[in-house]
Amino acid sequence: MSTVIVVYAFIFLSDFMQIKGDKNGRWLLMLSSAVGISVLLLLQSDIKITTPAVHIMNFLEYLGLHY
Amino acid sequence: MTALKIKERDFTIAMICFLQGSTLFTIFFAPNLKWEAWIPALAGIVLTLPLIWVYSALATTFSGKSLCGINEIVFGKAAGKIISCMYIFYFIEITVLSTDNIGSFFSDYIMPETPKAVFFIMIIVVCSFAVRSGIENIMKMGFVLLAFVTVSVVVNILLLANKINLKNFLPVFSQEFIKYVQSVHTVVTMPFGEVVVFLMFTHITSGNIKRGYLLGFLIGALSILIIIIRDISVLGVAMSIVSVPSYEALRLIDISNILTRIEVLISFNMVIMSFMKISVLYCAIVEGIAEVAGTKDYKHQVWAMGVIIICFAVLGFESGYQEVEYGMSYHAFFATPFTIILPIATLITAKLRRLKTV
Repeated sequence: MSTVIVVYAFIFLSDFMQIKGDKNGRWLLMLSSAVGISVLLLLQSDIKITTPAVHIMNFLEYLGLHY
Repeated sequence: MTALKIKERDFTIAMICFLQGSTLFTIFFAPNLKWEAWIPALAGIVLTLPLIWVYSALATTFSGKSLCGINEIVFGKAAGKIISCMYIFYFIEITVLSTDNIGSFFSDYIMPETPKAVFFIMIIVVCSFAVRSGIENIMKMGFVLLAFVTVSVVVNILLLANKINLKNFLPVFSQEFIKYVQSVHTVVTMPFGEVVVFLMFTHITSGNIKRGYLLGFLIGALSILIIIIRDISVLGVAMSIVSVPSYEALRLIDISNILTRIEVLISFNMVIMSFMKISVLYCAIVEGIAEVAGTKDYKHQVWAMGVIIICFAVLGFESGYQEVEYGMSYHAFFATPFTIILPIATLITAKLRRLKTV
């Protein structure tokens, strides 16, 4: 996993350095990378997380919207 | 003035490939109706046609604007951005589902000892390179890929000709009515309604958008129907108990013990069309995010989004059963607002407010 994160960091840096004069672009890249790294770390941890579809399924079940 | 980078022909072919990339989704409605799975597919085509008219009417009314731009014009800046974010989430969800499907197919059928994550990473890395090269190049590729897959499907049907049994289609309308409703709803929202994603690219497409949308949908949807009919005619009631009917049907090809075990060829078709589908969706996600955030270039967001898609696909469902249950009973309700309600509401609001772009 540490290898994956290091590779990801290099990709992030390379993309980040290419963005010139686009403040929103840099912020967006930082945000999406932070989300990516967080999910990667959560995958390694003991915390049980599931794909969004499972949450959607539980929510629709709660609303009673299903066949 | 936005540069028109995509030709009408490429747009149409990309839509056909996109729909063919959904053949793995037949598992979400076939088990319900078994040998009658062709009925929801046919009914779905007819019922989706008005939706295609709505999508193309939106594209022509707001020429030069993508789906996110249309939302901002019709619903205002703040509400438009919120609705665009919801669409982006919907696109992420179906991208993850498609990635999960093709990865699971390879992991279950072709290379059972290889972890699923390997397939997810390989697919998304290839799609990332394609997305970075631009949607116009992905759509240009469609012609070659479609030619290969069409030849392959025609040859498969010819090789299976001696296994086709028309009695496999009988009896007709033998299931409960609610099962037909459920399956038609699933078909309309799941493979067919997903073409709403092409509204992200209509502003850079030249030619007649209405014709492109209609032809692309009709040919793509009819090709899915032909594949379903082929599978039912060969497999019959077994259609409801297999995970990938096309793969199981091709297993039966046996020409004098010489030409056998060519089912692995179907994996080429599946990976090619899934690549097209995932790339188009992936491109829509990063372009949508860039537009909502107001950035100049979407290409820098591609790898970051790829990691998120891989992670969500790796997280996956607890079991194959849970995935099928989600597809059969829940996904249609989740997709209905994005494929049916919002586009119709957008068009009605635009007409009432007499909004359009020149």
